[in-house]
Amino acid sequence: MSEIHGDMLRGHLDTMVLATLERGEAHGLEILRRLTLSGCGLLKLKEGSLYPALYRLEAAGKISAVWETEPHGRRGARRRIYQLTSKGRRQLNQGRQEWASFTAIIGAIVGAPA
Amino acid sequence: MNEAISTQLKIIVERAVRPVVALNKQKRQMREELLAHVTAVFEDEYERQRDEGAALEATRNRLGDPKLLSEELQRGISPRHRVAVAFEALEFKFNKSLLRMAVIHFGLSFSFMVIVFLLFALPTTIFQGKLHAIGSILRVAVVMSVVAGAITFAACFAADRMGRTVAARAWRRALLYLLLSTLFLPLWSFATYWALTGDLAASLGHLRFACLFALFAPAGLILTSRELADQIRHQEEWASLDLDS
Repeated sequence: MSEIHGDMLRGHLDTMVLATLERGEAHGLEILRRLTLSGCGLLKLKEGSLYPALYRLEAAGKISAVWETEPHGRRGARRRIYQLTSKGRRQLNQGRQEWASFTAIIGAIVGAPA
Repeated sequence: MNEAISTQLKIIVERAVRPVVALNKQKRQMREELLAHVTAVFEDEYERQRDEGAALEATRNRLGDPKLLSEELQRGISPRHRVAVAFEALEFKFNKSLLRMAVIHFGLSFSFMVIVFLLFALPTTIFQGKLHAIGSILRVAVVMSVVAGAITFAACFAADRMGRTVAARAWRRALLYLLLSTLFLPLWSFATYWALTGDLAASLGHLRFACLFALFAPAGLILTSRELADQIRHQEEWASLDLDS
């Protein structure tokens, strides 16, 4: 199977982030780990792009975040822990329906034998 | 992790965050969160490669092109926050010219007081038919507007001095500023009363009453200086990074 790079993920990243948070609260790196594991290592996302998506989702009220009470590691920088909100859960369900419809339509076209 | 590596990690973060036009609070959040991220990534890569240079390079690659990240972060700043950024520019910020900020605050306070008098005191006087009192009202308006502006102007300098002193942890100097600030309200009250009445004896009598509120100014200074010192430390730490290195 070939790798999936950032450009192909455009438009789906928000739903993917919501789906990873459905498994429980997580900080940025943990979200990336979950995405990598679920994508069997084939998702090649520039890690920085996750944060604009997180800020966007937070501003839209689809996720909420709190700062870690204890700094992480020796540098003392704190991480933010993200959690799915009820609005985010609704958005995730809608995203799943849209994805199912998208794959059904495109699959019918692309997957059809010549 | 040594200091040079930690500086390099901050530079990776700052290359993406510095160009973003956002509120200080938002940029601070981005910096701290991205720094925690790149630190963890570096530790992970170093564990794997056992070479600091290679681990740094891998950290840069994993985060992505800083220019693209800046653009993505910028797109996430809502129009509401962009308006707030414009207003924040009017607020006191250590990296702007202090004199300019103080003059802006003088102008804002002065204008506010003039508007209050023009909208409320003057129409009320005219409506009550006390046209002979207009001269006195205008005199009060001018004095109060200048005093309000001067207080704000002085408060800008006082907050800056105190913020820098606390940031440098120069506690004896901070104590001296606090003691000096106790004189602020009584002297201001005395000067205003004297300017309005021209009666020195009555103004000195009023000074005794104003001494009851002498501790308000140092209390305000303590409240503002803590946050300001924190902001100064943060700005100094990140603004001093040489992004071309």
